Amino acid sequence: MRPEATSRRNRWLGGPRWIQRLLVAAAAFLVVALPGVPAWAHAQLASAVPAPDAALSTAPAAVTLTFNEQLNPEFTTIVVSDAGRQRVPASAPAVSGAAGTVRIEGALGEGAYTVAYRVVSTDGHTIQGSYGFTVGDAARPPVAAGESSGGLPVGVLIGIGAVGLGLAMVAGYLYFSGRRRQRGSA
Amino acid sequence: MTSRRHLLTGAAAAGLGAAAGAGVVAAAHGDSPARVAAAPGGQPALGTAIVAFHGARQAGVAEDPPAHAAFVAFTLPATADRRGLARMMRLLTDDAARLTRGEPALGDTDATLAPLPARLTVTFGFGPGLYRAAGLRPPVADLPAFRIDRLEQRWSGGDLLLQVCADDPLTVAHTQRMLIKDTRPFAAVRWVQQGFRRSPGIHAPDHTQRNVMGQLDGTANPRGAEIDPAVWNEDGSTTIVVRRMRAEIEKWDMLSVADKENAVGRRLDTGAPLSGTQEHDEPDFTKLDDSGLPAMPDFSHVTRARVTDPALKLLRRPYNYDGVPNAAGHPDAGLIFASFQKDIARQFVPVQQRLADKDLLNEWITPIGSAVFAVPPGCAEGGWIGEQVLG
Repeated sequence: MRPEATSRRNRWLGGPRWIQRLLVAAAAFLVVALPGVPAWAHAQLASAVPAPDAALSTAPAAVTLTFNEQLNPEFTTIVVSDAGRQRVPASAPAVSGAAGTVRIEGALGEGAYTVAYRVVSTDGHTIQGSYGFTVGDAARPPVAAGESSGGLPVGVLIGIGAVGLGLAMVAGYLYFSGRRRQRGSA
Repeated sequence: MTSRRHLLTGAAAAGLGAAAGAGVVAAAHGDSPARVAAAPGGQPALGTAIVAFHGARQAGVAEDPPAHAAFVAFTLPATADRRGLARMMRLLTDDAARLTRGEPALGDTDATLAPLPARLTVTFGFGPGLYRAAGLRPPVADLPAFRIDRLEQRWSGGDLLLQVCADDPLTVAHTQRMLIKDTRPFAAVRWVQQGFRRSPGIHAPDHTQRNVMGQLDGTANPRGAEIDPAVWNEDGSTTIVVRRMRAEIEKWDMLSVADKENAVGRRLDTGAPLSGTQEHDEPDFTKLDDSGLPAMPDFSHVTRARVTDPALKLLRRPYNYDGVPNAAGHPDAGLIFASFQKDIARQFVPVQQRLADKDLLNEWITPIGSAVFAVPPGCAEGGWIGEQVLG
């Protein structure tokens, strides 16, 4: 390669060489990683009444879950179960915008309850999760509250991203050091 | 050059087939798949396997589906009448009877393509328009409109249907060509849909096939003795629904495996319902997971499509299609859904209505074609398909 072409390219990119490498590595990471990542914008539970882990003195008449995205009424499931994993009689979910409400039929006695939901975001991903609350003096429900999006957990995604970034940087370094050697020997 | 060589090899093989004798047959008709006999003379048994054409019921319904199919629908002219239709059906029956036993049709312009029927079946269906043209009351009616439908005229309707199935695509092509040629004086081609399933020898015959979306497709089908009460009327007739379901593959590709399984209600790898562990486990819609959610999502395809009454089940006999991708590389792929049932209004419509009302899988499949046909009884040797209707 002719020297002036090289220097022109360097002027265009500007800045010290390590910045160029970082840019290339970052670009490579984006190119490699982005298309494989299923949409980031999954629906998530934004707020709930009763709130997760709430210790209530009076029984709630309804459970309302609000998500960060519009719900599709056809694909919204909300169930309330007692400590014996028996489903508490409740209405079908009434969906309004991003919120779904089930009215509990009859009064809840003292005890631990679990709210579980399975909803579908507008891009078709299923989001399900659960949390507990108690009425009266009962102990906290023994449910592992949590949310899963059906995809990889965020931690794993970040881990994959970090490994990908590392590999891309190594690749970028090898690419540029290889080119430098070529130029040197030419 | 390669294609010409293949063509020549094929012709040579076909010639050999003729020499080896068309008498090498293993006829099977009805519930059991064609038993394939080892043919003498080194002729591959798959190629010479025959499914009997004649019988009280038409072939191409209850047998294990061959790998390739062409669904050909025709439109009758306004001048069509009962006598003309009877003439057409005599001719087409004769063609089908010959071709399915590995003999050329009368006037076959490429007789060398006939000797390897490869389980060829030709099944005739009569659309509502054929009955009206004959001055008869149609036993089948067009489906009601469903809100998920995005039907295109070019894949919908039809007065006459030929379902051509065989384990070899060249056999299907030749049969389709001969039958269309002889139908031309009577009717115009309305649409042709060509599809495929796994090839013979790829897995066991009773293995459930996968569709282009990777799902096991047909697990809930009636099998063996379960077929009769769901499919066949006493006179040997049945009905077929053909719907072209476009797969929205680009959107489907955005889902994780768990998302896909929630939409279908089955594991992708084993086909087991989410409430069980094996493909043929009965889905348990009462089973709850640790948090109290039903193990089978109530909006999943399997939950919504479930039919428990054996007399109301559908015999699904679908074929995949995979057309030419567009310039952006997006596939044109999906399913040629074909189901046989005694009564479309009593069996098919309620299931389709439930799925149209609520089925998460609707996000990734779009009905773009739809047609219904009565499948008249079969015929004895010397008879013709439709003789009970048009004779």
